[in-house]
Amino acid sequence: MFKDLNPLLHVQQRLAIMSILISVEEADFSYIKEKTAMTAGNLSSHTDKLSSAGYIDIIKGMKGKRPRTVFKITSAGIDAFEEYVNSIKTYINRSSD
Amino acid sequence: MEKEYTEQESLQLITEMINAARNDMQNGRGDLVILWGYVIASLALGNFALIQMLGVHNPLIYLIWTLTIPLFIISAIIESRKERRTKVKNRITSIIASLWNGYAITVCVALTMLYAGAAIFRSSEIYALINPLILSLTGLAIFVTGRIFRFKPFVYGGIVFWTGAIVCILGSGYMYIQGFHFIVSAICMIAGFIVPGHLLNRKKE
Repeated sequence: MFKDLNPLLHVQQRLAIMSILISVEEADFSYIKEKTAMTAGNLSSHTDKLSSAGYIDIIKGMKGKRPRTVFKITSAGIDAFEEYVNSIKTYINRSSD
Repeated sequence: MEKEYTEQESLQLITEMINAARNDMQNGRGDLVILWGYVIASLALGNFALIQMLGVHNPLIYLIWTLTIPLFIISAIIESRKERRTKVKNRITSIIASLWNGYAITVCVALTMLYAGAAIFRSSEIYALINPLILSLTGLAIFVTGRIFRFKPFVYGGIVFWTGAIVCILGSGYMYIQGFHFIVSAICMIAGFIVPGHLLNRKKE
């Protein structure tokens, strides 16, 4: 049914992460965790997959004395997300015909 | 656990997440506007009072505006603390920050031009342009901020500032109250900064 959809993005958690990152310049780990209601381990696992695909950048640094992880969508991630949304629209249009 | 779902659910999730990020964008933007509004309105009224007491030609009365220097420093500290607490950075927030930084630089350049112009051409009449120019630039910045945030009180505030700029320059020619333009500036700060700032904070709550 969804064979044309990007399998990496067609997973609720990863799609949620990408939807947030497409709307912002950058977001830190705790923000994404709070918005997606994921556990830290789960979030790390999904962001690692997105990063390996080149869809997001993971920037590790310090904020004051605390370690901070920031996520930023890449241009490849924007292209993949747009392609995914266009595919969904096609499916919705087809099913409404 | 990776969960697959329908295309409708996908679209719904995308919309929910984008809206969640968008709602965060408008949080807590009123505080600095309110601070600047109260301080500048007080300084303008203070300057008007000093003109009535000491006369318009006493250069010392304008030293009151040096109080804006600590205001700049306090604003920078507040912004940097806020940025340290911020978990998310939005493009729109960055654009607004660039707009107001650009506004501050333009005001400095414009003031330098006016003071230099007054010295070069030995014309004190040029000073009459200071307030209208600052008011019209502020009108532009607050109007664009309102349009970007889709927050109408700032848009109306911009219109108040532009009207104030025209009233100021006309008043310089036809009103015979010394320092009249400072009253106009104070009214603009109340209508364009203080009231919309409080409305924004109330909306946030």
